[in-house]
Amino acid sequence: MRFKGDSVFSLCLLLFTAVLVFLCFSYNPTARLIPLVLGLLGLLLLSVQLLLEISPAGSKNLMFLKDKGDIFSVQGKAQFYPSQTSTFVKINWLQVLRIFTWLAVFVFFLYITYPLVVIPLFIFFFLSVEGRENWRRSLGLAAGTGVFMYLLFSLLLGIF
Amino acid sequence: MNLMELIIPTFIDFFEWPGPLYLVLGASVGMLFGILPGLGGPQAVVLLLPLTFGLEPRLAITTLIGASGATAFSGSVTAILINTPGTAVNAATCFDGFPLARQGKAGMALGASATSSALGAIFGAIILTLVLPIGRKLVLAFSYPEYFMLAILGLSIIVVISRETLLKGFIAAILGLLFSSFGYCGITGSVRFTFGLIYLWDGIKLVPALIGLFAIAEAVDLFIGRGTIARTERFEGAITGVFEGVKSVFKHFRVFLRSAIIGTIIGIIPGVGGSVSNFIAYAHIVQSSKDKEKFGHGDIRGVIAPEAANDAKDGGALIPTLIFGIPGSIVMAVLLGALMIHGIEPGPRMMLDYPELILILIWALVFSNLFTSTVGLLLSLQLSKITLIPTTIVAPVIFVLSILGTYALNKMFADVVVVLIFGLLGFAMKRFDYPRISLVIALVLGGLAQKSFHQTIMALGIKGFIIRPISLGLLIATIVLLVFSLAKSKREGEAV
Repeated sequence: MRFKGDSVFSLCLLLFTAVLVFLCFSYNPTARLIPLVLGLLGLLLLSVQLLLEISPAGSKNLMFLKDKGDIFSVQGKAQFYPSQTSTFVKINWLQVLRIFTWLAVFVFFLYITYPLVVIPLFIFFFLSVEGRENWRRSLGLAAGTGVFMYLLFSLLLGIF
Repeated sequence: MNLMELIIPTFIDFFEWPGPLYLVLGASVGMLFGILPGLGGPQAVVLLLPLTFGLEPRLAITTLIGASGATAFSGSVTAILINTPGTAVNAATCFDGFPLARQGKAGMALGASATSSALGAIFGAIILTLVLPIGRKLVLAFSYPEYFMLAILGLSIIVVISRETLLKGFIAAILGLLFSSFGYCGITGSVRFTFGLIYLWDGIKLVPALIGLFAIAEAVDLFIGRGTIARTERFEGAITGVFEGVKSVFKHFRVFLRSAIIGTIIGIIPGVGGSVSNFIAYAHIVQSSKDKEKFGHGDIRGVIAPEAANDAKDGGALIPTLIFGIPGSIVMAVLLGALMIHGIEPGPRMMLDYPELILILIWALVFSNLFTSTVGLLLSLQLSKITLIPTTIVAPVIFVLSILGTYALNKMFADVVVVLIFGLLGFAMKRFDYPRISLVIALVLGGLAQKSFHQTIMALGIKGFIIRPISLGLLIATIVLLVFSLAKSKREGEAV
């Protein structure tokens, strides 16, 4: 039995679906009919998926459900996309979480301050800290993006 | 008014200012995204979607179709010049396009690609225009059971899409259906899965979900990948002989025509799409040629065939989308989402209620391809240099555009939170090979399926699904599709 990133994700989906199934029982029978059927089916399929991922030996009869790769599959396409390295490069999930934290902080400051101040600041700090770009390039892109966003969202669309 | 009688008035409407300006704007964004490998039509359309919210539907559709139509040809520029296809639909163009460029015939290859792309799009649009009146008559016979069966047929297409990841495809679809159950249900009068949040009474909005799943997830992936977008050699040659390439399409007109037909037919089958059509057209031309050995070494027919097919498929893909409201690809799902935010209910009624809009959409498809082929050809060398931009610079700009664009939709920060949640979900789905398109199709069709299911039960009872001939026919078609796909998948699994 082995627990890897894919099985953790499947487990998260399983738990999420289980919560939805549990919530279904608080609705009237007509309202819960379709979500309950879907939720139970989802639980079944996610359990099979989890079994395939954590115990390949115990799931021989389900081999036809396992992922296959050919020229049209995700793996097949990846050979044409050097930047789409999802199937080849090991992911640093800590970096992914850091990026989403940056985005959450950006959204928070958008909420409490003025967007046209936050946008260049976000671009500058994100590029120089997370992207490890030199400060001149970061500053240039921050200024450029700030002006572009001002023209688009403030002058053209009148959002801010 | 008859659909055919509207062709000329809508043509005039299409060129009414500022329509052409929005077409050029959309096509320019589409070209940029088409050239950047890893980004493509879905990302271009998703990012433009919030910006079109304030526009009248005619202009919004023109912008979005302009962007979507522009990606296919622009992706071939980098395929030919630097052996890196801008989008998946240009992958087969590399086989002969890049060898031609190495032989100093880049201009010829680009000329052939531009001409076959533009003519392919026109071919697809003509077929679409001819088929629409037939579909219009068919949908007049539709009621609740047919809508339900149509949604189920649309959902069963997920099996075809997810053949390589069947189980994950089903799981993604169920998640999409469950997400579509969130919020207030008008039929049962209940509120489901809101977790105490008033925001969720309206359910999960399609646009923030799409922006998260595709724009944010792709940008995170690009950022993590680092380096330049295309990690290949720079094109150093000159671009000459373009007119020779243009002439080659007419010289090999049968190759073009056969490929365009293949593209249109594959486009009609929801879920199969352009990434398959270019390979099938290429394979067909190689198989049917007497001099097969020339392919792969710089044969111009190897450029004409995939490019004609992948642009003709857009017209074909619009057939199920416009007639039945079944989105067979991400771009089509986004397009239906765009129609929804403009108050147009996707589905069979759309063709009856908004025929003018549909014809404007067809004009936009044709002219976007003509614009891209012309401008792309003139600027091809400059455009190919865009791929050398570091991904660390592209990604934060996409983040900001996605977040501000989403906020611009309803000026609600809750929408932005949905973008981030779906961004994380989309990234994980991409990394673990869960097909995101299955989730999107289910999210789009889930509401229609649930509503028409309850309406049928209330009006006709359970027998309502089988006593009406069209509904029964759709049910049989769904069963046949599912049985064949599952059997094929099982056979392939046993062979592995």
